[in-house]
Amino acid sequence: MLRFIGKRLVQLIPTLLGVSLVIFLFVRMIPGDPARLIAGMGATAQDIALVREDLGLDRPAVQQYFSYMGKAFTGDFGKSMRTRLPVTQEIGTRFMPTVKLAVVSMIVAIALGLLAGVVAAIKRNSWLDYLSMTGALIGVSMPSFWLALMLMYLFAVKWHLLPTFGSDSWKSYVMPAVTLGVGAAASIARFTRAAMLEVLGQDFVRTARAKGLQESRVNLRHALRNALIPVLTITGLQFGFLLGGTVVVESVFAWNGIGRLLVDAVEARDYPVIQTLMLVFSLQFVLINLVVDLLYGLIDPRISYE
Amino acid sequence: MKLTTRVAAGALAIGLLTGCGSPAPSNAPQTSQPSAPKKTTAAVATAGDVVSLDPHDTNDNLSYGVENTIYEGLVGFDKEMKVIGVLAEKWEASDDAKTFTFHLRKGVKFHTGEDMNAAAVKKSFLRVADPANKLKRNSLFNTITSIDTPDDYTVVFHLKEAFGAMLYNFAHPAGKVIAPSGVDKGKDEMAKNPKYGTGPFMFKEWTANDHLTVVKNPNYWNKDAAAKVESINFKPIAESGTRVNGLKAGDLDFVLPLPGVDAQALQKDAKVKVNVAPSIYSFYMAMNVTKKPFDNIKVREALNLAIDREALRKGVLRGFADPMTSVLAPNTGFYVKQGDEIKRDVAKAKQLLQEGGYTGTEVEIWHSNATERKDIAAAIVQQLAEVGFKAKSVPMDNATLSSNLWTQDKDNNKVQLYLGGWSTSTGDADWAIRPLLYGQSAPPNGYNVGFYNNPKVNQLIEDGLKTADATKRASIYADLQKEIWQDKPWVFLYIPNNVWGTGANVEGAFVQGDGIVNYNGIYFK
Repeated sequence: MLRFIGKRLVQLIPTLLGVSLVIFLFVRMIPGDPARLIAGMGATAQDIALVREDLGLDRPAVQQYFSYMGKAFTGDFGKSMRTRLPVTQEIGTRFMPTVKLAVVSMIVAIALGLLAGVVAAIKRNSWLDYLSMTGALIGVSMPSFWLALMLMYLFAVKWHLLPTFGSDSWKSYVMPAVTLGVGAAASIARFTRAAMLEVLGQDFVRTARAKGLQESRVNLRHALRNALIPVLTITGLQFGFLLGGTVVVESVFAWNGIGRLLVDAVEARDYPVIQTLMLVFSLQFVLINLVVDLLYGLIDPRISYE
Repeated sequence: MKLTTRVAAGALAIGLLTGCGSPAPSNAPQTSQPSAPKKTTAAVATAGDVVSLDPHDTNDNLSYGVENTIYEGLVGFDKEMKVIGVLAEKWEASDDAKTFTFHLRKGVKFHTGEDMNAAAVKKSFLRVADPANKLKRNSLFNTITSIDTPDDYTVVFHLKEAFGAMLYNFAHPAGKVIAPSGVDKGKDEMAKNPKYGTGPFMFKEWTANDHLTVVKNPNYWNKDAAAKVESINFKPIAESGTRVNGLKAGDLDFVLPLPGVDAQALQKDAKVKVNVAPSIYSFYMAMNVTKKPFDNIKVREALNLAIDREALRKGVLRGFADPMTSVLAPNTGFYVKQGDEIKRDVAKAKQLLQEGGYTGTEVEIWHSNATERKDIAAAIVQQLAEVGFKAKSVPMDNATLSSNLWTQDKDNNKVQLYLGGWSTSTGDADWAIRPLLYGQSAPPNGYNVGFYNNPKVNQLIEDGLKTADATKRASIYADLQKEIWQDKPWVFLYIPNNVWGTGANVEGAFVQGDGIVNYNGIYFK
C-alpha cells in the first residue's frame, strides 16, 4: 500500500507543474491590470507605474514565471500584491478555519445524508421515503445564502442563542456547518438511497435474510456496506469542494476562510495569491482522491493495493 | 487488510485531510445579553479587510478610516470637509502658491515616545515625496522639492511649481506624519505594524481578514478629543445582511456601508440608528464627446433632459441621495450652485435628439457590476428609451471595467457612456474636476473617460492651481463650474448620501463627505 501511496504522490509533481503553468497563463489572459487596481481609483499614471515596478510586473512574463516557480520550490510563494503579506501567511491563517468548518460540515452531512438515504431505501414508497427525499430535494435546491440568513435571523437576532458571526467558539460552528451540511447531506441521501435500493435487490441480501439474520443486520452490515462505494465517492467530492472554501457561507458568517480569499484575490488580480491557491486546491483534490481510494480498500476487502 | 491496518489507514486519511492546528484566537462576538454592562470596546463592521496600514501607501477609504485612529496629519478635515489644524496650529501659503509654511503644535509625542517636531515632519514627508520609495500616494507630494526647518516647530515646504490646492493635499489622509523610527522601517513593516502615529488610538493587533484592534492612547496630546472607549475592534464582514443582523443582535456597534434597502428597513427598529450625511461623491454618466452622437451638445442636453433624477433618488436609492446642482458636490471646496436639479422634459429631449442628428444607433452604458449600479443603469436605459434613445447596460467586474476604461487612449477606447462616480479625498475643487475633465487627464493619463477637451475649461483648471489665494480660487472655480454645467460633458445625476448604522446608544463617530470614517470620538451613551 505504501508503494501505491508513494507512486500517487510522485504523480503529483507533474500535475502541480502543469497546473502552475496553466494558471499562470490564464490569470494573465483575463482582462485587468493588477498595478492599476492596487494603485486604486484616483491614482495617477505615475503612481501606477511605480506600483507596477514595485510588484515586478514590468518584467517579461517568462521571467516572472520562472522567478515565481524558482522561489516556490524553496517554499517562498511571494507576497500578496494587495496586502504585501507573504502568500503563505495569507493562506496559512485561512486554511485551518476552512478545514475545520469543512470537517464539521461533513460530519453533519454524512450523519443526515446516510440516515435519510438508508431510511428512504428501507422504507421505500412509505411516507418516510417521501419525507426524506422531499427533504433532500429541498436541501439541494435551497440557496445556502437564504438558509444562512434565515438561521442567523432566528438563532442570533431573535433568540440570541448563537453569535451572528465569528469562528472561534463551538457555537460559531453551528450555523455555518448546518448551512453547508444540509446541501451536502441532500446529495449523500440521494446517492445512498439509490445505491441501497440496488444492493437490497441482490441475491446475497436475499440469502442473508433466508439465513434468518435480523433485518437491521441485513440492512447495515450487508446492504449499507456494499452500497458505500458510490456514497464514498460523492462524499469525497463534496469534501473537496468544501475544502476549496465556500464563498457564500464564509461571506455571510464572516468566516476567515480560503474561499473569500480567492474571490478577493481574483477581484484584485492578485497573481501570486491566485496561483498559490490553485496549487493548494489541486493538491487537496489529488490527496482527497488518494484518501478515497484508500477508504475503498477499507470498506471493500476485494479492493487491494498490494 | 486487518482491522488495525484499516483503522490506521483511516486515521492517516483523516490526518491528511484535516492536519493539525491550534484553536483560532478568540475574537468572535458574544451573544448579547439584555442587561450587559456598559461596553468599553466598540465593535465596528467594515465591508472588507484593511489593505494597508501605511498612510503613504494606501488608496482605499476603509484603510484610511482605520489609519485615522492611529495617525494624524498637519491639517485634516472637519465634518463638513473644511480644513482644520491638527498637528499644525497655523499655516500660510506664499502668493505664488510655491511655498507652504506650517507652525507645529508643541508637546506632541508619537506612540513610540519620540517628539513630534519639525525634523520628524520633514523626514516623514521626504519619505512620501521620494518616488524611489514607490509609495502609492507619491503623486500627491512629489511636487515638493525641498523642506526647510528654520526652528524645531516650523516647517517650510518648497514646491516645484505653483500648486494652489496643496493645502488640501496636506489635509488628504495620505498626508499623515510618521515617527522617524517608522520611516526607517521598510514598507512591508509599515503596512502591517503601524506603531508610529500620534493619534488618540494605538495599534494593538491585526489578523488579516479576521480582526484589527486599536486601543486608547493614554498620553494623547489633546485631552478634549481623547478616546472615550478603551478599544475599537474592526471586523471585516463582506455581506451586508450579516452586518445588519449583527447590528440588530447587538454584536456590532457601527456598520458601514448600509445599502438603501437595509437602511429603510432599519429605520423602524428602535434598537438601532440609521445615520445619514451628505457626501462629496458626484455621480454622473460621462459621454465620449469624441464620438457620435455625443460630439453634438444638443444630444448631450437631450440626455440630461431625458433623466428623471427624482425617480432614481427616491426609487432606486430609497431617498438616500441629494440633487446634483453643479459638477461639484455641495460640500466640496469652492462649490457654487449652478441651478436646481435638472428636471425631466421628454418633449424637449426628443426635439433636441432630432436636431442633434441622433440616428437611432444603440449605445452601450459601461458600469460596474455592483447591485445598486446595475439597478441605476437599468432605470436609465428605460428612461432613455422613453425619449427614443437606445442604450444597453453593460456591467463589468471592476478589473475588466478599469482595464477597458482607463488604459486605452482616445483612438482605441471603445467607451460610449460610462456610469460612475468620483469623490475627492482632498476635499478641494481641483481634484474633483481636473482628473475627470481636464484635456490632459484623458486615459491612460487620468480619468477623463469622455475625452472632454474644452480649451476654456483647461485654462481655468490651470489658473486654479497658480494661486493659493482663496478669493481668487473661488472666482476661478465659479467660472469653471458654470462652463462645465453649460457644456454638459456628463449627464449630471445625483450626490449619494453616506449611510451608516449604529447601535441606539452609540455616538461620536461620523462619516466624512469623502466616505472616510472618523471613529476617534466614538462612545456609548
